[in-house]
Amino acid sequence: MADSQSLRQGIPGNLARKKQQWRLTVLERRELFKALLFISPWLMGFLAFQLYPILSSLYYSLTAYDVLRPPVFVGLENYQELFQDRFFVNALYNTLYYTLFAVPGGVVVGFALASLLNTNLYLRSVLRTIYYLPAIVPQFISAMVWLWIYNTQYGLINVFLASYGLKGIPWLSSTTWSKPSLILISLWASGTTMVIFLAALQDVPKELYEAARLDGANSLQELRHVTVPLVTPAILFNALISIIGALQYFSIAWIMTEGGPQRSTEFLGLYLYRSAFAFFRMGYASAVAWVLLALTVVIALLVFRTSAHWVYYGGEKL
Amino acid sequence: MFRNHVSRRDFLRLALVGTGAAALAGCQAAVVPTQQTGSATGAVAAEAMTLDWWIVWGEDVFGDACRQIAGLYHEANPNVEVKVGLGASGSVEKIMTAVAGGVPPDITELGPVGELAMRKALVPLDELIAASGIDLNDIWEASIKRGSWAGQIYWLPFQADYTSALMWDKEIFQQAGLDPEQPPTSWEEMRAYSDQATQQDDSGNVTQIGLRPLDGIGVFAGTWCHAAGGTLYDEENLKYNLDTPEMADAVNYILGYYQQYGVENLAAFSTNVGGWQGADSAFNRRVQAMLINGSWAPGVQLDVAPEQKVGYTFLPTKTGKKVQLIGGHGNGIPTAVKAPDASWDFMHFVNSQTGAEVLWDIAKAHPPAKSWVATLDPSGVPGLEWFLQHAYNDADEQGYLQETLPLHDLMNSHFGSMIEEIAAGQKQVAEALAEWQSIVDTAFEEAKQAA
Repeated sequence: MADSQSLRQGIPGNLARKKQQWRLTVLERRELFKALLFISPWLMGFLAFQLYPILSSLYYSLTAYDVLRPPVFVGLENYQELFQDRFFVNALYNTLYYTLFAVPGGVVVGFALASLLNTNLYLRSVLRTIYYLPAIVPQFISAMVWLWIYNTQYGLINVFLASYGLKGIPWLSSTTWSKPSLILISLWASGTTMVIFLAALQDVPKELYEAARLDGANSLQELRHVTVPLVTPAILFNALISIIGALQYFSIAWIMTEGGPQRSTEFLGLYLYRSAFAFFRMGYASAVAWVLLALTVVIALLVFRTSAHWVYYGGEKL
Repeated sequence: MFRNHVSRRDFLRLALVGTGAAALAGCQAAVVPTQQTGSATGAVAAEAMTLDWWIVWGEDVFGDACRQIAGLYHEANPNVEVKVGLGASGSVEKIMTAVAGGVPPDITELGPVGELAMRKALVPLDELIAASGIDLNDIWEASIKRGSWAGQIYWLPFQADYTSALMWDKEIFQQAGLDPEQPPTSWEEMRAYSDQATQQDDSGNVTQIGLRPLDGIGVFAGTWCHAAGGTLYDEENLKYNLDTPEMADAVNYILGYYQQYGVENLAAFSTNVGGWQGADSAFNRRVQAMLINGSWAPGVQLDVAPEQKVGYTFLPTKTGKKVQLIGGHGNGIPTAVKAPDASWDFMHFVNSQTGAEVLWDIAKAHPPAKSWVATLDPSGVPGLEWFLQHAYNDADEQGYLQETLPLHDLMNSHFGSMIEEIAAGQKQVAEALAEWQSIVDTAFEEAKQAA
């Protein structure tokens, strides 16, 4: 019927079919309305508290805006400035450094812990809780505890090293050690990654291990040819979430180092915060935020693109 | 609709109506309290109201004094309750966010006066001061200047500091082989005394420091600029003087400490101990021999470490002159407060005889009023006599601590990191000063353009 109608109206057949696909019946419209009604609370929240601020920040990134006075449109000046700003470049470097080491490290540590906790250990459930706890400790508390652990004179680690006659490490006061110190804290808090890997490991069919053993595989070969391929979806998920979190790293660094020493722990999040709230440069800070968003999207897309080559779902390649 | 069962359509209609009603109720404007119309001398409010007073201090003698002042105001004005926000005004981010969000405190203790005044976030007080009969001639000119911008006054100063003083721990001096009654009188002596009092273990960790140049009031670029004989701020041209020979002298002097003790060792020491004064500060924990500080120090010492034997003197300067910078705190009224008359009434009370007496009784601090200073009895507060007798009267030069100027936070944040970068060999002094000047100039132009 669509074809005869479209013929009468002079509309090409395939276009008419597409138009018909989009045209809703009365019942479909009614169902759509009800669906929108049910999700309207979330929708209103999304529009008011997410989409509106996002679009506002895009506009403000094109302005000189100190929050207390109306914004002044400056076009792309903020974006031009930030790529010439050595402090922004420094913050970008620090952020990428942190992401490059904290993300793979967190994935490896999480996987290793999950593998260990997937065995028949005595008090396994207690150990799982203990290893998960750091992930739910409030960041402020973690920061204060680690400030004491990293104390160069009385900290746990340096006192331990001194007991063996070794020189203490200037954890937070050295530009060489400051970022690794923060990365170490993130590895300590790999509980969430661990839990996700644990669930993935428990999904690996036991028969595959039996089959591998029958074929003469040792533990390492089982790990490489059975376990890892089948948990690649979990690896992808953990990597993506960790990358997003690492690029927005803020709280621990702000509390422990405030960007020092010598801006070696001034990440993009800290730089953005300072620009916006300490220096009244909300427009410039919005530009930094959009660059950070673009960076996150690019990296996430790269990970997705490559995932076709290494992620297996249900034993099949993507 | 009034059947035994409710159909799906009816349920959705009811839900829609209910949601809409709830949304309308939530969007209803808050009832605005009636503005107080009383005089500026403690008139009782017509209706009950609560005023938010943000102060920079926390659980210390100053916080206690402020709470008592608020309580006394409430006794005189039973319909007005003043809620004291301890530590609330300590960050410019908080005040700015509150003003921008339309929920400013009714009165706020002010640090960044210029920053906020430039952006019209504070109410000018000139007319209110004139109408209230406050004698500006009795108030130290430097204190008025600190709270002014573009010829208008934006704060009422209620606590005065004399800064650029050096305090020293007499027992540490004695242990280090120094005369406990003889403080340093020159930059060279100060450095030599510091070297003598500093102790480092075999790994280079600083276990006791003579002086941390950027601790206490030393954290401000202005302190060192004045100590080097320079002028931090050009008021006529609205410009900071950063790339100057005097600032270079100051930076080179500070660098000497970093080079002697090690950049990382100093950073580690600062991470291990607290700064300034307080129970966890290096000075009050007796692992720091000298501290650059101000006239609030004796009152705080009495509270946290009364047994510590401390001396006070002028901070040595490059020129040999005795320089005194006036600091202190004042209160202001953010724009868009709900009841500016009530805010002013309370501020006036804080600055009254009652408020000043409470400040003295509890914190041993005083307003910058000449008539008040003349009546003070510093006995019972070791060290305060030096400030009252000498700091103000014997100074060769007087200025004011300029952290209330616009963009001071931006300017000063670069000061500290710049010092560390130069000390670590990442930059030369001249190059760093030029960059610092450029950054602040650019930001200042941007801020002025938007004004």
